[in-house]
Amino acid sequence: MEHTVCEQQGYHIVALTGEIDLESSPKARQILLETIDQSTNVLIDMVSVTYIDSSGIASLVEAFQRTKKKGGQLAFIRLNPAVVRVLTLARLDKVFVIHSDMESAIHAEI
Amino acid sequence: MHLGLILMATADSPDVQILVQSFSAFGFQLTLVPDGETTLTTCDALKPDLIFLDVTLPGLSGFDTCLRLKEQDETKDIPVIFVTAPSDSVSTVKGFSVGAVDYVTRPFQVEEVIARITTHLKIRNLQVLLEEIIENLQSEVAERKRTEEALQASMLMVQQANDRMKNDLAAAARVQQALLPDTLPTLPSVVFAWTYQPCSELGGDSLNVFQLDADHVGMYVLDVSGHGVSASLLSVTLSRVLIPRRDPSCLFIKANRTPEPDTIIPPAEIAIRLNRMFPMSENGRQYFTWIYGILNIRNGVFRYTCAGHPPPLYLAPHQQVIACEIGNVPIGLFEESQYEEGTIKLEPGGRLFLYSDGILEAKDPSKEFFGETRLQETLKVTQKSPLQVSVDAIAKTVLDWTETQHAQDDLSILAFEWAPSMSLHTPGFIKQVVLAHQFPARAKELGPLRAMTRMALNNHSWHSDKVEDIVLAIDEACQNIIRHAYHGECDDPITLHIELTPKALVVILEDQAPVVSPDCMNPRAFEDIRPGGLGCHFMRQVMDTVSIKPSPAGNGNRLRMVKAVDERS
Repeated sequence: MEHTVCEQQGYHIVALTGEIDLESSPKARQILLETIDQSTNVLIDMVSVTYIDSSGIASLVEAFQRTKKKGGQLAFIRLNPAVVRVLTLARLDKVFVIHSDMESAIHAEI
Repeated sequence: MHLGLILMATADSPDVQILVQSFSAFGFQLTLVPDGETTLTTCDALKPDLIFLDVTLPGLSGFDTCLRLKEQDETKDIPVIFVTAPSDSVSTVKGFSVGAVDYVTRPFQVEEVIARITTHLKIRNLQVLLEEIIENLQSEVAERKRTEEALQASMLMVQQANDRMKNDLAAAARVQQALLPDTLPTLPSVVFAWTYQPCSELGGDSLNVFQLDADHVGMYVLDVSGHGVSASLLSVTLSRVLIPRRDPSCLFIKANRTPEPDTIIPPAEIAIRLNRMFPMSENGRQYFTWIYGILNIRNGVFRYTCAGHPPPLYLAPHQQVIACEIGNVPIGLFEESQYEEGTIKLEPGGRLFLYSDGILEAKDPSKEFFGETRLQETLKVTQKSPLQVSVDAIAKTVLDWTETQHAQDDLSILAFEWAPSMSLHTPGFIKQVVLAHQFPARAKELGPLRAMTRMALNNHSWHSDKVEDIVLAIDEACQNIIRHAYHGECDDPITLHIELTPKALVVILEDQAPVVSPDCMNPRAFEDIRPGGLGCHFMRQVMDTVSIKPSPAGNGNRLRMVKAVDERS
């Protein structure tokens, strides 16, 4: 799994790439939590995430909960169908804030 | 009889003369000297056993004479008795202080003097004896120390030689291990599995499986007589000879000019050639048993020869085990041996096991053989397990039988399952193996496993969404095995077996971890799902049934997930 973090229009955007599984989810968790600690507005770009398992989902849930706790906002953008399927199985598709792209996230002010 | 030489320094007098006569009668020789100086010179010359010194000697006094005697190594151990006047306690005390052992008073009482001489000579003799004993002991201790040092040096040399030999054996074992199949042929309709456990660092067994052409696979197990270095040397030589390669020396294939296809050499013909190449007389009186067969992967026909080797066991899909015996002699025993061939027609889903006699002849502590009946039972019990699990279970059951950590004899098993590609609607279709794979329980193995599973399922025309669901279920199952059965990453195996039956895709995952409760897979309310339970939730969501129970192979767990076939696309 690879990642980039950039700042745009007041948002920290974390772009994750590849497969988030048992091996890589600790790294994903660390990246997300570090970003959340630095920013109150975080977008997670998942367009290049081709696979996610329960350990990856657990990292996303932890990031989401920490953001809520500190009064920040976190949204997921550009989910591909494989990730949507797993979020749906976990019934998180109605819990997480999900937008089709960055513009709609910014327009909705997350 | 001469009991001792006594020197007496004193002025001559009548009582002295009485002593002289009495001493002689008691066996002592008495020499009289008049003064201290003469005492010293006479001592050097005569080496007396005991000295009497009068305290009132002329010139050098008795005390000074005693001091001089005690200063010299040659005389310091000679007992000195002072002769004093009665009631001269001062002289008595001084005498002891300069090294005397006793005193007598004048006039002499003969019996008293003789008694004292006898006592002190006895003490002196005992002292000398004690000193000799001590000296001998010291010399023995020194000798023993030298011996121990020499022994330690020898032990060090033996240890170093032993280390060198162990290193050499380990290097030789690595060479031997390198000749075992590291990759098995990947064919659509056959699954292979094997295990090899040498009884010492070096074994005499060898096995291999290799593709001969698009439709044929060759495989053998051999067992060189004896164990250790000599057996393994011949075993390694044979492994090198028994490698299929495209050159005229190849025993398995005769390369023809294109376009004519290569000729596959029949098993019996190869046995005859090997028998000529490795006569016992030229191999340090070693011979070997060998089973070699050729499987036609299209029709499931296994053509083989068996030279003194245990017969292959055929496990039919419905639990019937057949020992396929052929009576041939081992390779190398007789110059002109002929070898017969046998043929086995496997049914789809049938398994064939080739193995060495180390399995059958493994003995329990009461010397009872493991035997073919127990082997057959193990095959039946593990029939529904992935083939590699079944093979590993046989090796473990044999080791458990012997109640030892290491095999008594080399244990080799090479097995295959014939699972030809068929349409689900073909009459007689029972099942087809989609994927068989064994890997260590480590997170880094899961990525390649997902890729392998996707590829295998895509080859069977499953819709990509369903494929991803099944991949997720298998991935989550493996994670649960790693995290909750093995309690963390380790090198113990997880065995995946995916098969297609007319009605369902069946995924079987077996581990060797302690048995877990079947309740861990029971459905829970979604709100009750803890992070570790999310994976189980996924598995239950995407598969039709998920169950876990102890592995029939005897240790570990078997997780079984089923997806109905009509949901394939």
